[in-house]
Amino acid sequence: MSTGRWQVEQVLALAPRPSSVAAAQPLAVPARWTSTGCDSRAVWGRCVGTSAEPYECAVDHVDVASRCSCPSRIFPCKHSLALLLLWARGQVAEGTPPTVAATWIAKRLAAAAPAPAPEPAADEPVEATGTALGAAVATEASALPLPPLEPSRTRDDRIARMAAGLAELDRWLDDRVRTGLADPSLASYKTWDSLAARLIDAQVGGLANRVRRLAGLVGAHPDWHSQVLAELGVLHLLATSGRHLGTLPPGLADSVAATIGWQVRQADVLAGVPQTDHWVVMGRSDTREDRIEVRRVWLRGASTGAWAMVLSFAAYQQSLDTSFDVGTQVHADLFRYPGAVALRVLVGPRHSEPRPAPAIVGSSITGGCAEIGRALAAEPWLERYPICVLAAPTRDGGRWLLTDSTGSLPLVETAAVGTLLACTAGRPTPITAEWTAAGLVPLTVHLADRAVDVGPVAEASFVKAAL
Amino acid sequence: MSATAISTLGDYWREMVTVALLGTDRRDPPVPPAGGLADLAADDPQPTPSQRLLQQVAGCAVAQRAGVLPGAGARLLAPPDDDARPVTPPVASPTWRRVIADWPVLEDEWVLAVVRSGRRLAPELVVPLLARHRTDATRHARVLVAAGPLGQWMIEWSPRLACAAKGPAVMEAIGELPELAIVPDLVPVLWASPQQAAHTIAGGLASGVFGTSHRAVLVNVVARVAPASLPALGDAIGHIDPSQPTIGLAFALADLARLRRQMLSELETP
Repeated sequence: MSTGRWQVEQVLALAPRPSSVAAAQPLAVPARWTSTGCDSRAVWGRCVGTSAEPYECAVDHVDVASRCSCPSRIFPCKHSLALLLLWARGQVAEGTPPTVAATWIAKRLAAAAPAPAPEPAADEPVEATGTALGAAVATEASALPLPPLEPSRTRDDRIARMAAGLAELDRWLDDRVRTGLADPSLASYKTWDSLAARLIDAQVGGLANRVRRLAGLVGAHPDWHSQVLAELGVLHLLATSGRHLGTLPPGLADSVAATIGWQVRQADVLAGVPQTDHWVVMGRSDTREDRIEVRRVWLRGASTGAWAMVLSFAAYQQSLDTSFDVGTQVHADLFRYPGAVALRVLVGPRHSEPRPAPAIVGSSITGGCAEIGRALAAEPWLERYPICVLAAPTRDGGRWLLTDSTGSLPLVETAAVGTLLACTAGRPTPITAEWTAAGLVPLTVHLADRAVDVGPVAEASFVKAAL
Repeated sequence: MSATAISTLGDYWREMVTVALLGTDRRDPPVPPAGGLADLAADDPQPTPSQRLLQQVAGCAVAQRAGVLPGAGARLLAPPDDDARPVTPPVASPTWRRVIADWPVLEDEWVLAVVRSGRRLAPELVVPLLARHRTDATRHARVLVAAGPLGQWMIEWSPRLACAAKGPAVMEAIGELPELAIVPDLVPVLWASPQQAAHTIAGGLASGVFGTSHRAVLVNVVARVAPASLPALGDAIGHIDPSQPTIGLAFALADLARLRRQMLSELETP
């Protein structure tokens, strides 16, 4: 392997996800580093961060590996990337490695000498090993998947395909508004499906799903043009921001990446800091997406009030997750996926058996709108967001609404509205609902002695365990 | 560009929908009203009308969604008359779902048990029960008795829940369990002592007197046998030799007996 200095592009190709680059950029300035140096084998330095002690960081740029005393279990961490960026830009002077870095390099050389380990496949997850160093936790990724001078074609190809897919989507959107939404071809599912298929080929499957859902809106009601146009605008926003991930703030970049279809490994999520709370199971909602049934379970932290969403999926005759009963409360660790709103979680250890949830307190309709607004301002492409309001169903202007003294929000008129009406008898009651662009979808009516689950349910003929 | 001056976001959106319908090949996008969207257009000018429209549609959609505001408050519905009866306990609702899924032969008794216990239907069951029996006048009327004023109130707001049967309800049948087909030889089992009833059914299954061809009539017997006989019956059936060819039927009857006992226990007078 070459011992020459890397190009910046080679460093960027090492990033495990787009947001890592965004997180590393602010640290890639000399002011954040002390005791930096490099030689023909390694680059090292101490990054001044928010902790009392600077992070000790070193990168083997020949047989690519990194170690850093930061607690992150993402490899390479943002400090390693930042150090490499500094070095690639010629901002690290040659020198003699400090003892810690020299010892680490010596160990690596010794380990590599007798029998070099086989190189893992480019897209295999990297197994990390942790070693203690003083009070800090030092971690090492002994075999990063991307060699520096031969960046993984798989990853580069994927990024290129995604960029091409996003550009094609934007061209397609441009054609639609140029020729007009009255074009009869829009009424054909094939028009949308073929675009969705091309987006899947481009590995932006998240957008493909949105496009297919959009097809269902065409002609669905007299006002469909407005709804479809708004969705086309959101797709344009995603196509544009997806091509500029590196310039977005980290949380936003993660949200965009996840929305367009970039997968985050569960191991990376579980390596984060858990949020422990007594989580109240506020609602459940099943939706069919193509040939997959998707279940969203909405949890709310009893102490923080924070929302979280557990997703499960089932293909034909598979089972959905039934481990959360609406109206119960579980003491558990949740690990959040990265993102600006970061609703999606993985469930870690549960510390107790579920028990009935305490009395639910709902906000006002205005308060609910404020919550929705905050979430949508952070992630405008959100398709649903949970709220819990103390409100009553009523009928006005030919529509069903949830109303209170501060205002009202329209309900999506599903079969659940009848049960919602019966459970509340038209009186103000705590109700959990999902905001969608089409209106509120009622999920749960929280009565004094029971929580009534009125959320959309998967067809029992499609999945094995619907409820 | 359109010469029309637009001052509100709503008007701007409507004009953009019109342009999008026609296509920017036929009509130029409108000029954004002063404010954030005009600033966006000025800061990031787009080269073509279609790109200008897409940029503004995206910006406007985001502004409208993130700026979601409640509509005017609406008048509350007049609630149904009060019903002083206690509601069925939460555990009874999943049991009813199990009854209609697995042993619908028990449903009439379940509804009658609600009425006789002095309770009213849990509100979450009012709609599915009314909808389920809208083509059977007697059963629909029985559900209305169990639901109380809430049932009639729901029909006012959701007329599809009204009874659609052709004939009127048979009033005297509303409070009675419908008869099930039971062969004369087995009728005495219905009021025999628990031990005798258990012996007849379980013994018949064990000895081969009853086979799978008797399933329908045995189901009817277990669904109508005196409730006091259910524990002994379930116990006796549960002890049948698993190698017997009727073991599948025995398990099914034991499950029916267990579910019937459970539902009656849940719906005892509070």
